[in-house]
Amino acid sequence: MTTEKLNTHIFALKANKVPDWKDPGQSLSFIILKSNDKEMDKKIKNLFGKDIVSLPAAESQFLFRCYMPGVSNPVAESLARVLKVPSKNLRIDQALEITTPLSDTEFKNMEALWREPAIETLRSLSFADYLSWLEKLRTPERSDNSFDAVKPEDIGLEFSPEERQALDDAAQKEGRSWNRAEWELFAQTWSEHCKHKIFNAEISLTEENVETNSIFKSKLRVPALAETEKKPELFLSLFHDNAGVLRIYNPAGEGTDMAIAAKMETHNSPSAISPYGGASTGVVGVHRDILGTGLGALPVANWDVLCFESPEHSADRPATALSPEIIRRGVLRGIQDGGNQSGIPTVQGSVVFDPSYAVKPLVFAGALGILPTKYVNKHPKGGDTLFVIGGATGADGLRGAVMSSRDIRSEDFSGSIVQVANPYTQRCLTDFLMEARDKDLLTAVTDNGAGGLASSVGEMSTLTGGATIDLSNIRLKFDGLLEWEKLLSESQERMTLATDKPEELKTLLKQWRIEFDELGTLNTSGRLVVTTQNKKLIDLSLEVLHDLCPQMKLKSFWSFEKEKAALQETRAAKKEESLDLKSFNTYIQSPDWASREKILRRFDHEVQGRTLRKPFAGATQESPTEGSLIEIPEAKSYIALGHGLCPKEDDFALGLLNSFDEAMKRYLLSSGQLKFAALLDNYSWPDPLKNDRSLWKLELSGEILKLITQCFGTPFVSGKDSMKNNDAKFRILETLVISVFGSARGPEYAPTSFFTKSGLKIYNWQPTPQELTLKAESRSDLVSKTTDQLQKLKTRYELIEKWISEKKLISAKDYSALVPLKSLFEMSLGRKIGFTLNEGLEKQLQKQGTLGAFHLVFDPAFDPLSEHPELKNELILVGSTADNFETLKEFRSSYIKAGENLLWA
Amino acid sequence: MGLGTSVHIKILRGEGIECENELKRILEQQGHSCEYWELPRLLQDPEHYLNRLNKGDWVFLPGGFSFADHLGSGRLLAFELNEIKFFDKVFLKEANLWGICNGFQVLVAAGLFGDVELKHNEFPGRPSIFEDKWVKLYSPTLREEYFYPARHGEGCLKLNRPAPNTECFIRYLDSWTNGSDDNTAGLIRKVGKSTVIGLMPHGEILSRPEQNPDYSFTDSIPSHFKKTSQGIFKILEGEQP
Repeated sequence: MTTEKLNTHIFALKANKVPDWKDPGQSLSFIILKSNDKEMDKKIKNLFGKDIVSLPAAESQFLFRCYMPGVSNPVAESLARVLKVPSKNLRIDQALEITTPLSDTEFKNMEALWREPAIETLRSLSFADYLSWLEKLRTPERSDNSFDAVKPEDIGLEFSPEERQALDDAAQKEGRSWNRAEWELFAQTWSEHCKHKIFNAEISLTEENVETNSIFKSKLRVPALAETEKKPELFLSLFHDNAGVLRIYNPAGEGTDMAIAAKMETHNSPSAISPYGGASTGVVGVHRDILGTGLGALPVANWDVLCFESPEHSADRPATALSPEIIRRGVLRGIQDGGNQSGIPTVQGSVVFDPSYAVKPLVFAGALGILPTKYVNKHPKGGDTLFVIGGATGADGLRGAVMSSRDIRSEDFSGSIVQVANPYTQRCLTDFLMEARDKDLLTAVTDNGAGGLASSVGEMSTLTGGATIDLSNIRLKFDGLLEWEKLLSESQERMTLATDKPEELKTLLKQWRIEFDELGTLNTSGRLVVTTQNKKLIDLSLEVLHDLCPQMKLKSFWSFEKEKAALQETRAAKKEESLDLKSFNTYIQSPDWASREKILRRFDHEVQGRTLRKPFAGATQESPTEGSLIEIPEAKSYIALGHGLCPKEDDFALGLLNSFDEAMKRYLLSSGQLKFAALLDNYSWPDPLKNDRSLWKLELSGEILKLITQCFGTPFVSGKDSMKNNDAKFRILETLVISVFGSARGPEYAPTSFFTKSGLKIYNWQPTPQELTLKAESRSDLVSKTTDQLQKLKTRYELIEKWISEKKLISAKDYSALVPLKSLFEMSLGRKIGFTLNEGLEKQLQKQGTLGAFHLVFDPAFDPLSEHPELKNELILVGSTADNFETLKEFRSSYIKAGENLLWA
Repeated sequence: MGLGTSVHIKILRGEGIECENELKRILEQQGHSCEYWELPRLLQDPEHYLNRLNKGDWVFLPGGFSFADHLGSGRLLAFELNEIKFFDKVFLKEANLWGICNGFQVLVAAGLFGDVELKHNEFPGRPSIFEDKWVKLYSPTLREEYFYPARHGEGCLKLNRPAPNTECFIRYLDSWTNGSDDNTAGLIRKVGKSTVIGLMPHGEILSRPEQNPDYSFTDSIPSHFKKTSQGIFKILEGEQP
């Protein structure tokens, strides 16, 4: 350890305003830098020029906005990199000068307005007091009990009685007690977050004699593997890697030597506590899943689903929940920075509002990536060297996996569970990784997310059958870390690599200016061994660590009969109002219906130049599109993507079908091909352990996903489940996002989402019958009616795909809202082409449901009903496109304006 | 597609630059030869790269988020490039510079256009945040109209005291405005025998007509596409002696 005394340099700058923070005035940035570089003052002056202002008088009062101790500040890290000083020797704080001391209320208001919850802290200090406060900021003296035998309950860890028993037995076999670090490792590895215990549980529905042994295995995995056996050339990797991987097929239907990886993550708990940090790490985190797929895939697209508390919600809500405005502002900014600063386009998304999301906002972050098929499999061997590269290890994200598996506002929660994303660091990592992969320097790569090094090295060690690592010399952002914390820290932007060419890899790392730690080696010992300061911290058999966790056994007393009765009650209480044009105008200004244009425009949706179908299209760029079409020039091919969710449908089974239908229609209308498609399932559920009905719905959802796989031959290749979205009193709606991705025909086939010219016939393909639960007699009848519905949808999808392949469809759109008029209106926006209706407006204003429904405009030379007379009762000619857009002008302006308010209000 | 007057192009990448691939694609499509210069390597060994630069070559700084725009867009990368006297050396070689979006911000932060600034957008009546939208443009230099996406948060160009020989290269044409002086979307400047261009919108994206958000396969390929497929980069040929 060097104890060289470093000079302190202090500068004040005029700060760059964050435009969507309502900065109350010009703030200053204080840079405090420790360095003995004699040129340092000159460098800073060159860098900031006229933005440098003189230091304030000692007694000047400021409100300081500071990063919390242990949380990394990406801005300070960037400056440290440029100035070539260690980032722990540099800090940057924001400050606002105040003339009179703030009252408590004013201070609270400023906290709400001007700092990121859980990441930053506000302090009202004079400049002199600030400087002396900094002097006192030292690494706290903490005693490290990482090596001591402890009881888990004494360090705030929870295990079920069965888990505890299994661990005690295993310890006895080893002839010793587990130490602190090992307990922490078990808590993380066996957390709901990492082990998906509920999804893998034995579930019995006692009222219906249904026994399900693991939803994951029996409903998703087994049906998926049956499909992959039929098409091994298409489905290249399922379930065992960080993302599902499919081969890409060119428009001629030939397999290429490129593959596509897809993954969606949830980041609900962190976003509830720190909306910006939670959302940005969600996006950047799912990119790492893609980077850690095979030997590294390049992320090429994001899509995000955000569920927020309704802005006008004023009824009872959790007392500790942040305000809906703060959540929305932070999450949107997090999604923006996470995608834009990574150079990965955000190609589509959904925003859903419901009062229930007050307890937790939902942030689903999805990403697609591409890689050559030859890099789909990892192939590490014993003796390969392990590296962790990218950011240094810090105190951020400790116990994140453990915490997100519990009620987030429980007593033992501490701010350090939240992380901060630095997309720039990860972008640099990505550039390096792609070159390292292409030079065949990697034998395995995986990301560091929940569980940090313990998880990444733990996962990789299972590939060879063991690993030994040493934490003595890893780079730290923060000196006070305990040994177990180094192992489990969830600091962002770190990847773990295995290589059989360590020296070449180090040379390349240095060329790319990527920081790294050499960790140790993979082996075949059957054990994970972690040493530090010449002492063993962890010494566990992989079997104990990964395979001993006992299966959970769950029971639900809910039943189909109860569900049907509950639904009847809900329906009876609901007033079905019919719309007229005036109420339509009100509806399109409501949060559910208003334009998403201004929200999506803040996300770069076309960087990389691949996004041929953008979220909004037409000459006006105002018509929302269906799905995305992404060019993969590397394979002379295209990828289509769609997603759907319908948590507000009270008929649960119907809601699931709607989610799938929405996703599949978007995929097809972007020219995606059914035979090349695969699905993702992403669950956010209220705790099924605490609610019978939620558990019953969870089980039924598994059954329906299985039916979808079997009916369409489209397996769910990757998924994620977040199961604790509730507190003691409030719970979210059961929310399942389904996404579809796969190879597509290309832009010269895809119909537009907008009317292209006037005088064309508009057909309405009416929804298929819309009742499932209420029409069914029993659970088994519900399952069989669902199967029938899926068959009907399949017939429609196949016909749509045929029309698209023959270029018969000029424009097409699904219904995004329950009334057809909304979809016609959105089709009009693109080129300001209106429509006339054969039967007047009334029918288009009736709520009809959306399952299987479309608006279609065909090539005028093609008459669909003479080709398909069997469709005459469902494919209805409703009108024609017309040059009468001025009748819609008023709707347009309210729809767009209301969407703008969602961003900002 | 090129007219036989192809040029040698060096495209910087790394350190948060994002748009290098689509830029390389369109420039190669137009017959130019391109090579990447990885910034981390360039910054550690500048002479190795600069020795390969010849008179008339172009160095491109593509769009992206170098250093995540921290402490002001373009500023930290401009500082690093100034530390190795990169721009001086490019001019000494009589080579040319072109920055797009974040690349333009780097050139501005490096002082190559004099006292001009690229500040946060100033959208009239709505939040002045990052926005991705296609906009109509007109280049007085090339006397042509273009339709490209503007994708930036800090594109409000303030022409306080531009350096001598700085001219408007391109301007926003329709109602879309980010508050720039005279709706200026790009600048061009002669420095000795070198040309420096800064362009805010992303001209590199239009390597195929389907990129246009108004594209429909039923429309004949827009007649303007043939022209704009060369697009703004047509000037590369015109610049040859």
